[in-house]
Amino acid sequence: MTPFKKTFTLEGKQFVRSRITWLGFAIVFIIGVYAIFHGKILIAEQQKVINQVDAVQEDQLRTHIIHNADQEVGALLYYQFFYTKNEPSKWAAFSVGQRDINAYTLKVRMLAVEGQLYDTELSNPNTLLSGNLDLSFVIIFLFPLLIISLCFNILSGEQESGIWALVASQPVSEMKVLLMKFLVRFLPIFILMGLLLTLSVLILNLPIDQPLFLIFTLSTAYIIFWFLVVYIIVLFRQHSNFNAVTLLSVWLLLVVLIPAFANVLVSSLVPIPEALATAVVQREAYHEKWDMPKNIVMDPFFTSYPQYSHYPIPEDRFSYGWYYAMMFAADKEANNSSAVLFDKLAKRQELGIKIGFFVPSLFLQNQFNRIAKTDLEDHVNYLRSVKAYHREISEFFYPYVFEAVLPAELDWDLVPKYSRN
Amino acid sequence: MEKILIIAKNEWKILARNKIAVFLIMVFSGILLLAAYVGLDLTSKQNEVRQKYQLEVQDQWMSQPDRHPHRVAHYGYLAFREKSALSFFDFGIESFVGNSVFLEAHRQNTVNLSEAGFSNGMLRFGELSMAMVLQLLTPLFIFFIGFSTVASLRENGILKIMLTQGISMKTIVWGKIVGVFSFTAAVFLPLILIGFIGELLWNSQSVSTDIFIRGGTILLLYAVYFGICSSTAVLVSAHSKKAGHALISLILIWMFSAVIMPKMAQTIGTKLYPSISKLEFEREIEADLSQEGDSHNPDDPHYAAFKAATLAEYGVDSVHKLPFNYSGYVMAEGERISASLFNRHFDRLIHTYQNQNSFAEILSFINPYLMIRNASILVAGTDLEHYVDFQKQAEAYRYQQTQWLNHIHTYEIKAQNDKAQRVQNDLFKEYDTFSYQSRSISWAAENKALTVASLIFWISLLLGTTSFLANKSSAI
Repeated sequence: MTPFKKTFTLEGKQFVRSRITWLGFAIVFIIGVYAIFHGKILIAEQQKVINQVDAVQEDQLRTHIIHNADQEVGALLYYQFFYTKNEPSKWAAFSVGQRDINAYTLKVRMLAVEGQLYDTELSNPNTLLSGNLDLSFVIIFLFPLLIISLCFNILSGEQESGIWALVASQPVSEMKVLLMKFLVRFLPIFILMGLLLTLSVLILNLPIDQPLFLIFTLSTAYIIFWFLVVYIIVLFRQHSNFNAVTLLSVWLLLVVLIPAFANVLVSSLVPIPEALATAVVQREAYHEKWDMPKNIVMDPFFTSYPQYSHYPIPEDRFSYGWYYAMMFAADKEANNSSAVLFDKLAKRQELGIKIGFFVPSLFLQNQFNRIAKTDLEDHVNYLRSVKAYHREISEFFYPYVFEAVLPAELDWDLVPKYSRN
Repeated sequence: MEKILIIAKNEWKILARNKIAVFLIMVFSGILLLAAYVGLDLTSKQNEVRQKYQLEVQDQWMSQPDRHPHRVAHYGYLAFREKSALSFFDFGIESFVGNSVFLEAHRQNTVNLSEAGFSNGMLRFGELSMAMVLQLLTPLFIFFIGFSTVASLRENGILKIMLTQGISMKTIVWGKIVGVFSFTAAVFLPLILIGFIGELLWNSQSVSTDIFIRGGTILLLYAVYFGICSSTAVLVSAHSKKAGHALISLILIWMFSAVIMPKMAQTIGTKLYPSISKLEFEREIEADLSQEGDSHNPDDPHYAAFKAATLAEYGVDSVHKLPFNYSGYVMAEGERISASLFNRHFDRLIHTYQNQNSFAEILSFINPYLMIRNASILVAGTDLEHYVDFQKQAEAYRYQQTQWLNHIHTYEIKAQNDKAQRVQNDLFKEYDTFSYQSRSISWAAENKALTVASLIFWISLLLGTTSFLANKSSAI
């Protein structure tokens, strides 16, 4: 046995015998497994709701057809919701991201769409606040803490007990011994990470493909980054207490304070008053039309949809063609602030990504959420698809509304189904 | 007592000479002041935007043309949620709940447009507020200045000398605790005060007796929290052979209580008391509605009976012969049924949420971090109770406004050619604008007995067991 192998085995034995080591690994492992199941259950619950949607829509439609049987279809369409679904990706359970915050089964009526896009899911705000305990959290938050607690006194501990003086007097290089000590800690932590990822693949039924490889690589790089941080601090050869406090401060800075500050920064650099503006504008734009001459609503509508311009719109009374044209007008008027809102959301996302390039914890979270399709970008895309679907539904029904057909005269199977993109 | 003060005074001297401690104070103070500024700036900006749009909505309400009352009921009202005065200090759930709700007839809309919905996920790392810094970082500061207090005396043998001089272990521990606590309090409590003064200067309209009581309570709360952390630091130090061990133990305690346990507690709470999705919530109301009476169903038995009873009451055989407009009258009945159904289901949902949260509240008896977190948002007015109160006030406003309009519909609009008629807009102008009635701190405390109890528990524990545990530690 070479002297290197011998010291390596000795160091390994010592490391394995330490109670702190086992405790640390056990805690992270147990929380890791818990986290995988937490993500699995949460996404499964969302999936359960998504799976109910079609039946609910069918059921509501049946009731509405009965209740409005003798009225033209425009009346029914006031009540009938059409559901959309933001299906979770395979990796969503690994990195829940914003999925618990944002609605994933938005429903739209033929009314103005802007007022319907931001309906929230019902959830306990305290739960949203404390956030998800998914595997991405364990990797981003807890692995660095594990690394710090196992390595902060890697050198100082030996110096304080006087052993390092003996090591230094030996013919082997001090640096080599130090690196070997790091290696003894790196390998089990790396294996733990691999183990948890393997478990998540098994428990969450994930495919072994490029995203998995990417997540594995990113996580490994993140762990190596934290070992480097510890290595640099250790090289200052300070007292164990100093190392512990410094490393904890670095952790707090990188994982809590800087992201928290970055978040405030993004919110104040890109404020979104348009969110409230859209709601106010759209409401007023629609309701004022009731008290205006009909052509103010109909002219722009007929410009966009000339195929209906031959339908007469009675000036002195209510008609459904006019009613839904008002909805069209309201959306058109709110379009500006809505477009600004979407732009600003994209800007927020972009800014977050940019800041992430300088903060490893943020970078990793951004990447995980992007891979898992649980970030803001995905939600904005979903909203866009809901808007597109709303338009599709409206355009499907316009002919029937203008023709004033009865619900029974319509083939409801032809109604467009929602599909993402 | 005198000896305790001497030891405490001595601790101050040691700390003032400790360069790292002084450095940490400067860094933490900087972060805390930054958090205060950020909080004040963000809160006032967001409130400004909301007030602006609330005024706009009110203007639009006042300048609406003559309308049919039921048109007005659908025109409805937009209510914006204003942040509480102390939300700059502790954001609580603020960013995760909606800010605007559309109030209209027949329908209880969700409170929409939360900050979190417009965040790309950074929010999940935490938000930089004074409360966050105080709850998460000051314990570390206290642990850092407190870990060696007794253990280092033991390591270098001074502890033995002190004990032989007749100073009891209890006196030493108390002296150290008082020293560490008073030092921390002297540094951080004035910074909280600066934040409050900033709020009063920045938002002069927020000045009220309730603010002073809430502010004072927050100072007291954090003083207690610092006390708990100081005792923990000194007691762990007193029970450790080496100062280094004490530090590691303290850091592990911090990790577990401030990082791991809060998250675990909430996820376990939600598993113990599962809540329903919005889809299910709405389906349940729909189902109950069709049971109790669905006004959109022409064959609904409840409304058939209602009609018969109304006709009988006025001794007529047709709704057209009633001395009022039946369609407004029946709409009021529909609103009454659907609103009471909604309230029943909503209360049940909130009750589930409260149960979910109660798990963390119970754990706050063993975890002071959870205690301060719950108590702080309660006092700052940024907890679930205050938010639900906003929702209930908004719903009550919606209901009363709708019923008022239904009343106008019933008595001011003739049944014949109903839809073509309008009511003079002056009538609508009389209606009061929505403004949230803020709650006193005693209202908040009544709603959260468990949190208040855990606070009292910790104060008594602090005073009681410190003496007991101090006696048990040895000199060697």
